[in-house]
Amino acid sequence: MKILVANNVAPFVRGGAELLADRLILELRKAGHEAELLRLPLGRTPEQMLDAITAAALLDVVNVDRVIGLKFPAYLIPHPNTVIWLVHQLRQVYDPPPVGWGPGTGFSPVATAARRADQAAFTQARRLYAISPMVADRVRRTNGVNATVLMTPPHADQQFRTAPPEDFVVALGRLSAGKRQLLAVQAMRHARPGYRLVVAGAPDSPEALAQIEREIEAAGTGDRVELIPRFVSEDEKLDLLSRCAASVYLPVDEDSYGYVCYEAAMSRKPSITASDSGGTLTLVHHLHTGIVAAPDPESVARAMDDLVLHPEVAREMGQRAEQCAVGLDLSWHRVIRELTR
Amino acid sequence: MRVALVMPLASASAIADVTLQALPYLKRAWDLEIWCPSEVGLRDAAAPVHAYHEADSEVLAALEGFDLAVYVLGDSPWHGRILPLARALPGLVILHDASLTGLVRHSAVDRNEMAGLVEHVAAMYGSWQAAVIASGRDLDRARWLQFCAEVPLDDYVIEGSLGVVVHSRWHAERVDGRTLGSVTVADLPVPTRSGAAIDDAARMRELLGAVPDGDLLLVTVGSVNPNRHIDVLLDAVASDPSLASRVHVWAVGLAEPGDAEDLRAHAEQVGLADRFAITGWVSDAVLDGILARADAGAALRNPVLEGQSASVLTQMLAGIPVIVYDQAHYAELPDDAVIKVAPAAGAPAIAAALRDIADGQHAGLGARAREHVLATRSGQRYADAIIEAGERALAARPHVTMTYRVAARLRRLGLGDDEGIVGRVVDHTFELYDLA
Amino acid sequence: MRVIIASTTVPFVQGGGRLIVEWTAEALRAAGHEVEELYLPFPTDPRAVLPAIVGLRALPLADAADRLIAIRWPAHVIRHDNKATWFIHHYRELFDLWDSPYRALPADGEGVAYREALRRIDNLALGESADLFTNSLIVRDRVREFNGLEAEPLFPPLGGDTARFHTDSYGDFIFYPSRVTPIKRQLLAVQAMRYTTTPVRLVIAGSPDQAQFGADLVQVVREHHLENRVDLRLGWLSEADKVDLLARCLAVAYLPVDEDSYGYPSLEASHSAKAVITVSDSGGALEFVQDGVQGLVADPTPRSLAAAFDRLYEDRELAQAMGAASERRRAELRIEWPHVVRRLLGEEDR
Repeated sequence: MKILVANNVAPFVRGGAELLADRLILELRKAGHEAELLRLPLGRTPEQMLDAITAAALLDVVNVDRVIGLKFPAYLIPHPNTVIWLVHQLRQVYDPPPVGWGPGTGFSPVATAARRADQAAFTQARRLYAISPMVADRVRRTNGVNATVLMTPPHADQQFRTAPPEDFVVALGRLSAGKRQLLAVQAMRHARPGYRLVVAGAPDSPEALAQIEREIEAAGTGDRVELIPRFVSEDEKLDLLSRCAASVYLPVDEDSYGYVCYEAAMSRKPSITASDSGGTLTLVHHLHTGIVAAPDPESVARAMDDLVLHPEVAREMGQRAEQCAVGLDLSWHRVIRELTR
Repeated sequence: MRVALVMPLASASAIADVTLQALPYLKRAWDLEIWCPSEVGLRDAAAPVHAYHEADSEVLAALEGFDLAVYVLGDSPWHGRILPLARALPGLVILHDASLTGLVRHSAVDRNEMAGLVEHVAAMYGSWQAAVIASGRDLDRARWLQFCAEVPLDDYVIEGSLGVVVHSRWHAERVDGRTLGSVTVADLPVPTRSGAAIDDAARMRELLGAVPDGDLLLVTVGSVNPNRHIDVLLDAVASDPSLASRVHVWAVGLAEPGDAEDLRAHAEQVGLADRFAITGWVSDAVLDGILARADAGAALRNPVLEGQSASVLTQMLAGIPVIVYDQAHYAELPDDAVIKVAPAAGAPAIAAALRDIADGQHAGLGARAREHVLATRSGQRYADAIIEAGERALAARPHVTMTYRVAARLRRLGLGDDEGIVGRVVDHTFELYDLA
Repeated sequence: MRVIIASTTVPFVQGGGRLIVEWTAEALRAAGHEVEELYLPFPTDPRAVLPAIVGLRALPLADAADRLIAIRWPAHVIRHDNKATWFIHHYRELFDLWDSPYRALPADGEGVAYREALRRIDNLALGESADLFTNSLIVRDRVREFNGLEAEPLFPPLGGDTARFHTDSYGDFIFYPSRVTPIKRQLLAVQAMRYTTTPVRLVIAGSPDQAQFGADLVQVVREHHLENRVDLRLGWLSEADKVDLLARCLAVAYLPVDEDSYGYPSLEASHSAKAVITVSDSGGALEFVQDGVQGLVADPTPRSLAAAFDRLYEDRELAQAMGAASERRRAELRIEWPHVVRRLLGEEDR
């Protein structure tokens, strides 16, 4: 089939959605389809956004068998054979402030138009998918339509491995306030002796790193926290995961299942996550594949203690975690099959 | 250029008559075919004729094969099966009536499209108006005609058209802005006088025998409706003994029983019972005979629902002085060819005009009226205007098509009425296409 | 600078139209700029064109970059305060092809109205451009004629790694590398081979876009027993093979009918220091080749073309000298990326 993938562009900014779109094109071609990428700007001001909706509405696509729409307003383009793989809607339209615009901000006309257009586009699409349970829930609440969850496969095709657990818990991912590595570090104040926390990842900002360093200094946990504040290669990451006692990943309200949790599970290691971490709960089932702790340092410390002190339990959880991850079938093969049928 | 002329060919349709007068001249410019709703007793036409039963997708598909479709529309059931085609396939509309309320409602009922029409009326005119349309004639005849004037529904007929031909500048002003194409004013030909010999001599003698020589015969021509102010005519005649003793008032045309009763009662009331007659339908020949005897005519319309008056032109062609209200398209007639009175001035002014006629004040008027009609009304002139309108319609097509498609795209996303989006689209479209 | 190159496409039709965008983006990046390439699907049916133009006009790119470069009609409709248009051609079917069988609509009131609507839009959008360029003199003249605007010719260079081109020898064959299609007149070249008097050979390479035309060429070769002298390589030719043939040929032939620019084969010849044989009605190629200087301009007849082939066969020195002039021609016409980049960004470059 000739497939047009419709995504947004914020000129000169490349983020996760761009990587996803590029990968999707690649995988479509591997599966024997012809695929091209369409990128449409969203704009910033109310007038620009209304214009963006107009541009999408009037785009005339010829010689295309199917459109796969990823983001607003790209998925609005007219085509009789559209499948939407919703990465996210325009959240400012639906969420309450501070994320959402709220009334009286000059963006009301955009919100009105966006709601109408979304409703029409979701109903007219041949099928509607969402990249995570969170996104699917949201679109059900805000637009009353059902989206099938079709999660994005992890970035790279990796060679996972497992080794006997050593005396550390690993916290991976870019250091940022949103990923809350700080919480894991704070937990070490309350952790029982006998293990350390390895925090490995490039800081998103100097402040993110500074906060963690200040905490270590203030708590005197310098001997219990090993900080590797730089980009960590795939190999290094997989090595740490293979040897850890557990992985700890505590983001705030993450949209998707969390690549870190997936990688830990595929390394047959249990994960510790927080009850407010959002999508990570897809893979981390309390006491089954890991521990879901309350988002406070003491609870996190207890979770880490438990897994370090009970390696047999941890091992069983790790095995189940791997089964769970495999069961999600997070393969591009599956994604392509769904999007092109 | 291949043109489909979608028009009624019913023998009783005067609109068919005037349109056919243009046909020989239209054929010189266009490769023309006539598409007409099938009726019993169709007129002959010197062009290929396709009669169709229903305005269905097959007919539409056939019309799409032409370079241009021209639709002839008037407010009568003869056009019921033409209106849906005009709305479905943009073309040039030749519009004979200023109000099309009857036609539009009739067609919507017929095709089960009332819901859409009611919504349209609510949006364009108001909810009370929509309620009236939905329920049908709840109003008495006079109020219904007033409603038709206020809620003409010409927008429903010509939105999306490539252009419109009307028959007076007054009508042109009314439809201005309702079509994306151009509005062309054409001079309406006078319905053909058949020129046949009197076919009902007995009837003729019977009728005319009622008017002694020396008495004045004042006629109105055409269907009798409350907006023809025949009652005002009666009042005018009755108000002046010199008129009441000499003037006969004849309504030459069909009347619905209710209207006929009301008028006879009114005549009775003002003491003109034996000087007032409603002839009912008469043949062309009889009409000619009556007009030959008539001393004066009246074409008083209020409200004005037609775009031009075939009846006033017919009377002018007969060379008689005609009294009209000085409004709408009647105001466009030459001041020295008809007698114009202000509508507000009512019966007294009409009485004064009748006295003037009786006194011979308007001796040459009738002749000038006839001259005016002969000089300005012909099939050739009519065809010329229609051909020019056709050229303009073609030139409007890119723009009309563009507007249609943009609107459809917006509607698809539920944004057809979205103020924010429509505002941006209008801005961009104006800048690009210079919609003056 | 942050530069957006905006172009229109027909999805899944890989025409040469994309190359100029990709190469321009490459050159801008090589000069240190950040570039976003945006390809907007755009319909070809005249009735779909007008509504789609409204959509392009709405695209909110006005403050998304320091400079917007619009390539391919009607990308120049996109709003931006610092817009450069590199105009390749109009909506041809309604403009320069109006008097041809390719006119998109009947020449009646409707067709004229479409044309005037598009002219008005082009006038507006081209007039808004801070800088207006065309890819040839022919197109510059058309912009003058149809839009009353003065455009600056800016000739597109070859992109990619042009260092791959080289010169090995001036051999015994004329090489015609191009898409094989009637408008490129490979048939004329083959017919010419009936009238040559020297042992000169002809190599034609390219994919036929209509199977019938390819078959016609084969037939003519067979009919006139030219198998030994005409090598028809119909189908995809690898870049390496093409570069090699260019390096070894006597000269390059390029024979399109009335094309509006000089075409990439002319540049490929130039990069390989080979003369270009063309014909007097080839259009834009004549902006590159002057008769007797960078190559030969024959009449568009088989005999005249044959004479040109023979002449170079017999005079290798001439072939070589004209090849060198062909190579120098790019610099003369400033067909080089540094110049193009500067002008596209609105910088002076005398």
